Amino acid sequence: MMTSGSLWGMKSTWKWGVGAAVFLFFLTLPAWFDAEYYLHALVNIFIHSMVAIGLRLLWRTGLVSFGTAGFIAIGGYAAGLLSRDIGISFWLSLPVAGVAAAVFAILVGIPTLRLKSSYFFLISWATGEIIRLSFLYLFIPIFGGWQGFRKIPLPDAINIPWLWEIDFSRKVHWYYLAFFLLCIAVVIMTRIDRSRIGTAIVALYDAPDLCEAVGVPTMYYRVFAFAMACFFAGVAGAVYGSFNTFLHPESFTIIQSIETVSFVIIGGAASVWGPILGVFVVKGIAMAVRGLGAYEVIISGLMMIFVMLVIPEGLSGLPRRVKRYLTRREVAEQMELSRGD
Amino acid sequence: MNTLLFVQTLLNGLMLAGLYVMTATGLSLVLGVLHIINFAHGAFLMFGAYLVWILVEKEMTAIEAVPDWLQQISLPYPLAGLIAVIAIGALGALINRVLYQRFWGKVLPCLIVAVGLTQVMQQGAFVTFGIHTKSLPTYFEGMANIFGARFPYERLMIIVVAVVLTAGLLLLLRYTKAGLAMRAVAQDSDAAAISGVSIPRTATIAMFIGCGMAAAAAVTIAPVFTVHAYMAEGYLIKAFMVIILGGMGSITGAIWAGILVGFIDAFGNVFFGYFTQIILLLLVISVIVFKPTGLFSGVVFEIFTRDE
Repeated sequence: MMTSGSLWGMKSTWKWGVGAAVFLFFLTLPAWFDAEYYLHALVNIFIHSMVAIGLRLLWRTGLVSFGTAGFIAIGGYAAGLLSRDIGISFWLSLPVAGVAAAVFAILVGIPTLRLKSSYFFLISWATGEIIRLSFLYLFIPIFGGWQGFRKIPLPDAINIPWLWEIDFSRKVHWYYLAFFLLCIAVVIMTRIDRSRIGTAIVALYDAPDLCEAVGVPTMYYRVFAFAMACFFAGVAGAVYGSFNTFLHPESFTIIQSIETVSFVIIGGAASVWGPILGVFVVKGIAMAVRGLGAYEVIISGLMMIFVMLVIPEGLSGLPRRVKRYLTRREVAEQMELSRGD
Repeated sequence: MNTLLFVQTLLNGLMLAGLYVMTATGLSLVLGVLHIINFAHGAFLMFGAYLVWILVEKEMTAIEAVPDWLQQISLPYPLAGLIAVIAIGALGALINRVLYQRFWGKVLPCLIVAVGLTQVMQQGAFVTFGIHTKSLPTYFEGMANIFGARFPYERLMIIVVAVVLTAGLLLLLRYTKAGLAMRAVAQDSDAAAISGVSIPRTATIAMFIGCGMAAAAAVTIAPVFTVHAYMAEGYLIKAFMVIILGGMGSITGAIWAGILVGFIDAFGNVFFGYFTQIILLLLVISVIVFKPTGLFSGVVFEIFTRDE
């Protein structure tokens, strides 16, 4: 009774309620708010969120990747090649793109993830640069080099009889594609968090040496986290490429990699919602100051410094902090009162 | 490869080596003494370049009008360079006191803070100075004739400044009290603190010298290349490559590795073109994997063994 009480108790219901409300809000959003500009921005937000929640898993193992943009590029180019040159359906090339990025991540990860985070950040940076430069200078007839990778076809139309025909000619269709992919990613990530792997990853962050000592295969979990992060980056890249029908190596530099890291830092890595919150906050501010687009990066940089100085667990940890502060004050007040008596 | 091309490439290699040594030794010093990765090193370099551009006599360009008050300032180039080095060093020391000091020994949080700082500094410069690149008038005009190869004096100055500064840094580390303190803190900060070395003071000096070296590199390259907000990205990744090849936190290692990378860059560009960068990156990754202490690790300060 106790366990079921804690599982389905007040707190849990409240959380489910908020989750369902948010889900329904975004599900029905295009029905009553059909502004192309905002839908376009939301598609980008969802794509970024997918990358960010993947990166969060890696951050939870105590590592930070500065080469995520490279893996997004791998996904985008892989899906683009498959659907444009070989003629495979987008729906098949989407998972293949993710797997391609993940396989590359495993190949890079196995020899390098043994190292401390200060080395891994350089490794990932160098890897991202190598990927970008390879797309820029190698196989120019296929990848396009400086010209960029052009004419990526749209996904095949899905026909839901009597209801809707999704042919990806409008932003709404892209909105739902990105939204559902993000939902799938969130579900997968929450499953991972609650599984044995998630527990091990938390332990890995808190006490890596102890984990090693008691026989937790730390390398396995690190490689797994890196591969998962890159899998989602690859899938996001495939969607991004098809959405823009164009890819250029220069849009996958260290600046973009750092941007994805900043989402995780600003939002917080405690739960899956943290990075998504981070994307919404950073991109939301960017949209709010649309006339001053150049300030977006400054704001995100300032927020990164602020978060690290004041709330290291990220903005999603803010409510808990406020609550703790309030209860502490309450207790202090009561103590004051009792002393007064 | 004929002699002329060889000499020319050799000189270019020396120039690049000087640049990389100047940027990497500063980075390595900060890494060794403060135990933090100063990702903002490149941003300090860029600030130095802009400061020199502000201080010296500006060229009129057709693209962009320079405001009047800015044109009023026209110091001679060497004086402007000196001011820039000291100002950027002081800025680095200030940033250390205000920000980095809270994160000593915590590599990842400090890296994130430095990344945020880089974003603020670079984009701030971009917003302030605009998209157009700035160029400085030449101060050392003319070409040197070295074994038939023609080499501009201002590029030769990079080599000279690099040699002087690196020698100065080595002498400072070896023979002065501050240098001794820095070496002590790099080796074992707790033991140094017990022996009466003021760690905040030593860290401030290290940060001053480190950022000053970056600014010195900026001062020498500002007339040769152009100045813009994201100019430092290439130098930053090169500096990180150098400190990996040389062993993290090792000054002498950084010097040898800087020379190596400079020559690989110069000769690679002649033989392999654009692939040089990829080859260098692969070399760096294999060094991290197979020999993380670096190729030239005479003195490795063992900085990443005790934190985290």
